[in-house]
Amino acid sequence: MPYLNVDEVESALSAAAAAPFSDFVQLITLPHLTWEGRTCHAVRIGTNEQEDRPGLYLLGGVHANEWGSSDILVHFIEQIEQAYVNETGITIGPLTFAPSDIRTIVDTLEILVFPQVNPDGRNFSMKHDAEWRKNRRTQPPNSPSTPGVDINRNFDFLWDFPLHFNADVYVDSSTIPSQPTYRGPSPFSEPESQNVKWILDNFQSIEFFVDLHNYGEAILHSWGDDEGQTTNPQMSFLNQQFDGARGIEGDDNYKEFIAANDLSSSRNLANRVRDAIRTVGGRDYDIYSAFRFAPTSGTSDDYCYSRHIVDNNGKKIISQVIEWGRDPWPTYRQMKKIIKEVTAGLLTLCLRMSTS
Amino acid sequence: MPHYLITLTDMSRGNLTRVLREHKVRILDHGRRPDSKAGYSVDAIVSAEGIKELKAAGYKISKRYDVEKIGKDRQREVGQGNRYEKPARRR
Repeated sequence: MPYLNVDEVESALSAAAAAPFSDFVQLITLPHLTWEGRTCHAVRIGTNEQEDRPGLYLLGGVHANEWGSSDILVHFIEQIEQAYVNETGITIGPLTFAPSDIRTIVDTLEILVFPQVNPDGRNFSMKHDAEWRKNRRTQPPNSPSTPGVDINRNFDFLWDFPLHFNADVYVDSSTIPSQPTYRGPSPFSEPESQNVKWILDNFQSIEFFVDLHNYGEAILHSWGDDEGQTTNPQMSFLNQQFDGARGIEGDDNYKEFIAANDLSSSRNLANRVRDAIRTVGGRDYDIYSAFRFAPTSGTSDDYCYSRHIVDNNGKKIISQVIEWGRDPWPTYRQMKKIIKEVTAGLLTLCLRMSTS
Repeated sequence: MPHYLITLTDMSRGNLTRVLREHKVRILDHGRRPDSKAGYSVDAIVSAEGIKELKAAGYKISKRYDVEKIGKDRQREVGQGNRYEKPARRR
C-alpha cells in the first residue's frame, strides 16, 4: 500500500467526517486558500457531551517532503473512529486500548487534526522534486524561479532572527527566498501558517500541541531558540534587552525561561509517548528540548507555547514536536511500522490527557 | 550532478558550525544530534565535489545515499488515483 497522495488525504478527511462518524467527527474547512488555490481541511474529533473539555491539536504535512506525517494522522483518525463506532478498542502490537479507553478519549477530549498543512508543496515533492520542503509561493519576494517559504520558519516567534540572535550563531532560517529554509517576507505571510493559527484562534480548548516531522526518532519540547531555565522569567523572548544574545549553547548570558511545572508536565507526557512507541516498535526515541546544535526561529511549536506569554488571557498550550523515523524518505514498508508506533504514542497521549 | 546525504561528525560543535558557514553546506534540520562517542553530528546534502572539499578540509564524513535516486524510488511509492473515491471505501 503506497503513501496517500494529496487528493487522497483530503478525501480521507471527508470520509472521516461522513456517516456513520458524523456524530463525533466534524470536517473543518480552513479559510485561507494555498498559493495554488487548494482548500485545506482539518477534522475535530469529540462528542458534545461535556463542556470545557481539554483540547489536543495534531499537525502534519508542514514540510512538504515529510510525506508520512499525513499518513500517520489519517491512520490515527480512522483507528479512533472505527473503534468508537464498533466499540472494539484498538490493539497495536502488544499494546491494547480498551473500548472504554476509546470512549473516554472521544467523550472527554476535543481533538483537532490538521494532517496536510502544505498540500501544494507535498504535491510538488511527490511528483517532481522529492526533496522539496517549502510551500509554492511565487509572489515577490519569491519568483517563479525561486519559489517557496519554509512554513516552519514563518510563525511569529523570534521570526526576525538577525535581530534576536547572536550574530555568530548558526540559526537554521534564511532571509533569502531561494533557500530551503526561507522564512517568508513577514511572520504569518503564508496561507498555510495562517490556517494553523486559525485553528488556534478558534478552538479555545487547545492545551496540548504536537507537530509531526521526519526525522530523528525524538520528541522535542520547548524551547527551540536557546537552552531552557526555570528561575528567571525576565530572561524571555519578549525582552528586547537580550536581542543579540540568544542562541549560544553553554553560556549563561541567555537561556529561555520555561515554568518548571510546564517543563515537568511536558517531559512526563513525552515519557509516556516514548514508552508507547518503544513498546510497539522497539524504537527508543530521545526526549530533549528543541534547541539542539542550532537554534530555531519562527517554528510552530515555539509559537504555540509562546501564545500565553504574549497574551496573558491566552490559554497555555504545551507544545512538542515528534520527529518520527530514523531516516528521511522511508520506504512505505518502513513507514507502516512508523505509522503504528506513532499512532500508539498519540493514543497514549490522548488517554493520558483524558484521564488527568 | 548527483547530490548525497552525508553525515558530518566532529568532537567540536564550533568546528561543525564553521563548516556550515564556510562551505555553505545545506544541513538537514532534523538530522542534528549530539553523539556521545563522536561529539556532534549533522546530516547534510552536498555534491560529490562538496564531499571532496570537506574531506580535504579534514572533516569526518560518512556518505549515506544519492538523494535524487532515493527520491525517485520513493515517488514510485505514492498512490495513484484516489482510493477514497466512491464507492465509499476505506483503506
